[in-house]
Amino acid sequence: MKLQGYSANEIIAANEDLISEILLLLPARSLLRFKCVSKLWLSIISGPRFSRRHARLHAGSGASGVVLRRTPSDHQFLPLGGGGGGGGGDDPLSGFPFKCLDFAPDPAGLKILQSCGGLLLCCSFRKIGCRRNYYVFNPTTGQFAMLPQLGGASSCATTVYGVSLAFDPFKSSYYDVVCVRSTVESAYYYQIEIYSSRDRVWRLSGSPFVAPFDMVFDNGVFWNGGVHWISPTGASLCFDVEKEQFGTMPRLPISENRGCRRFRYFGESRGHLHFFEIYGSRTAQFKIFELEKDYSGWFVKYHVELDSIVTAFPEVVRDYMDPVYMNYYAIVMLHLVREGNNEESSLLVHLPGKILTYNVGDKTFRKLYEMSADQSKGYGSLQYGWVDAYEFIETLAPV
Amino acid sequence: MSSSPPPSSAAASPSCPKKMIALRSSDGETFEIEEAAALQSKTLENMIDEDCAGTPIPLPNVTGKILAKVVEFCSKHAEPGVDDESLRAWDAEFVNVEQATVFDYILAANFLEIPTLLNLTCNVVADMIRGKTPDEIRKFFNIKSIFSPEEEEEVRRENHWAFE
Repeated sequence: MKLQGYSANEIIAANEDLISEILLLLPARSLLRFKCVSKLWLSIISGPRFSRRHARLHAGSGASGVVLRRTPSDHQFLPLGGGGGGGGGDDPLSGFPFKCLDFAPDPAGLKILQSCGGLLLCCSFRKIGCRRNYYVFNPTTGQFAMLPQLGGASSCATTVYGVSLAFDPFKSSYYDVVCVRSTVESAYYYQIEIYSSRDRVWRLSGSPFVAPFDMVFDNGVFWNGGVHWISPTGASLCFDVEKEQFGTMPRLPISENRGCRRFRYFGESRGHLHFFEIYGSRTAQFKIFELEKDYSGWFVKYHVELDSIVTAFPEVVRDYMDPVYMNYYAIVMLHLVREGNNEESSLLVHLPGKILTYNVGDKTFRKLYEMSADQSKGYGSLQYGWVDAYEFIETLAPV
Repeated sequence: MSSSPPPSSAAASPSCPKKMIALRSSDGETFEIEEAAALQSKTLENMIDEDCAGTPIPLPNVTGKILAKVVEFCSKHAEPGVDDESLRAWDAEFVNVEQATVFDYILAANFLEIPTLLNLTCNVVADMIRGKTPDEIRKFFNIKSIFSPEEEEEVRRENHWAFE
């Protein structure tokens, strides 16, 4: 059909609303390529209105890969099979936006603190004479925002105990950053300050509060609308960001016969909060717990058996050591990645010189990444811990 | 005791004959469509409200060939008792046509404001273009790029990893 001499496809391509309807259905990665189709398409895809709609529409996308930090200036990207809705079954998604975290010219260097919904919370390293800056960075689009300085009204030095990013693209394309800091009045009290990307200012939230004596606030996990913290002795706190109030969490499923704890994991993936611990130096079997969305309790989600890995890779057993030493087995759990299909979820397992992916459903494993000989040099055989692994989710969400 | 008027329903009962709306395409063909089906289109809904019974509604932007199919689509989607799976299968068959026709459907769905048809056809086009290169996209839509080679190179460089 021709109208005024133009064919239907030409009319559609020139109609911003129609093209937006089509482009909204495509994954972020395709859209980045299509930015160079024409200036109109570049302006549509880069525009905040489109990006916000797209971010919310694609909120269910899982991680297309996991970023490993070897050093702050050297990151390794591990693509996950098939991508989390990004690739749609076509080419393997090997491309990744950065190796070195240098999106902002900070003299102290930058590191990732947390990955949340596709956005990364980053901060500069402590350096004498430099202020510590916090950033929210979208690796997909390359955009970043530097957060204003904290504790505006107070002229006294505040200690920041922890900063957490709260971003839920299902609910909103705007994000919050929750900061737990010291108060002027007393060393026993903490204070929460919240930054919203809508207003772009920090504001105090609630009154000063006390927390369990050994609570740590620097590895908060955002899940189900709240930031969750746990302490070494197993105490827990959760803060509902929207309601700005604390809630209670059920007791962590910690084993009664303590023995020596070798490892503890507390993390989120695709809308699920996981917790597990490994006791004993030669344990290769453990349970992974998940928290019910209504906070009624923790339930066993997966049974993990790594014996087949220990058998297949005998270098895991450091038989030159006494078996009572906790690092007798050279295995580190890096991250639990949930898939849309529960049975496809995988646990990233780090052995000397390699990373495996263990399928929690059928308990099989395959090699995901092998470190080259020169990469291992000087770092010892196990280079990463779970604090070095971050999910990479493609999103156009503006910062 | 007050009683409210019975709600209008898509199913006809013997005492309430279905109201038919007449539509005229750009090339003069006339089509009849049940009111319930016509209400799938927000454009038609507005026109029906302010109407004059009987005179065909002129649709200068839609040819007879396309309008016939649009009427078919709306009628199917207004049918009661069709389960989701068969409707999805019917939709898949409906858009199993040549590209040019899908584009015509998009324009018609946009003009007539039929969200279901628009979403269905946009999905078809999205699937077609998902893995294409920028050059292939330009050919597909017959877009003349007005980027200079340097400008295009810069956009490519900023997003280089998406091309890998």
